[in-house]
Amino acid sequence: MRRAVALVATLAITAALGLAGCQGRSGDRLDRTGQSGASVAEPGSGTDGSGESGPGGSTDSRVASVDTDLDAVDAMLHEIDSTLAEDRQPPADAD
Amino acid sequence: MNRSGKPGRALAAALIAAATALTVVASAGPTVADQTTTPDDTLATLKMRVTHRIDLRLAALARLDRRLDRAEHLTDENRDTLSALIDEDVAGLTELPGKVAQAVTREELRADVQSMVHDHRIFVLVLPQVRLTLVADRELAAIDRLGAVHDKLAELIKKSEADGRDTGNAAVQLDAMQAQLAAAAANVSGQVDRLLAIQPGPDGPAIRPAVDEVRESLRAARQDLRDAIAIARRIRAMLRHRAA
Repeated sequence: MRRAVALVATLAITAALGLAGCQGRSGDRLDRTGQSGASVAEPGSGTDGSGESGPGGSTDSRVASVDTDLDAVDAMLHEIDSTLAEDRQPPADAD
Repeated sequence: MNRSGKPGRALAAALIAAATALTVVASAGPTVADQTTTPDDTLATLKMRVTHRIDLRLAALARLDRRLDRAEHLTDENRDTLSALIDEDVAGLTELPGKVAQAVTREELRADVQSMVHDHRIFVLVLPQVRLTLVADRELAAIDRLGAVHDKLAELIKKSEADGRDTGNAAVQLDAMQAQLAAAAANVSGQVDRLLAIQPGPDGPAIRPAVDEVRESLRAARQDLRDAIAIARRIRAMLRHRAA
């Protein structure tokens, strides 16, 4: 009789633990679902590498065009700096 | 006043050459006469110093004239105005060594010195007028170019968003860039007109602060542009990083 009670108790505990384990896993699944949501975005970026490298390359060229513009403006600012520096120098015969 | 273009430049060059020759002639006598110590020779020494000061001014104007020839971002209107200004000063200063040579009293020489300084104000006014106008026009060109950069970046952000990419706070940064460009434009606006409206005259202490105000505005615009370009580089890096 004691063995039977012990067996039932063991089974009950095992079942309870098993249920808890399932819930834990389902929680994991939710997390993974979230991760798979993130991985849904990856194909988005992956499309650049696979099918839509054209538009990706176009973006790169546009960024390169911005770089060219910024370099040109940098050169202008350099000229401005040197002219302002020259203007700051007191003339030898100032009046 | 309206002496712009190449014929004007040629005339200016000729006047500068003539003035230099006159200066040499005017300087040659006093240099020899310095070896004696008569009152007349003292006047001659003063004349030599005055002609040297005129020389310095003509040399500065010649350098400015060359700067105008090389300037890339100068508007036609400002180039014409500055060329006329330089031509007028060269013409006035070129006549002066002859007057200096004819001066027989210190009072006459003093009047020539006052004319050299007050009528032209080459160092405290004309030099900054040319240099700062060059700065202002370059700043306006930089504002235009950065405006184009702003539009390209806006397009890139829009495209990235349409592609479902995270653009972070690029749009906010773009607004900040626009604000810096607007600030730069406000700092440059009207400064060349203010600067070129300043006239030479005997009141030197009034000329300096008027020029300084313009200079400070243009320096502030330069800083606005530096900030705008830094923001543009951040946005560009952000878009490149997120596209990788």
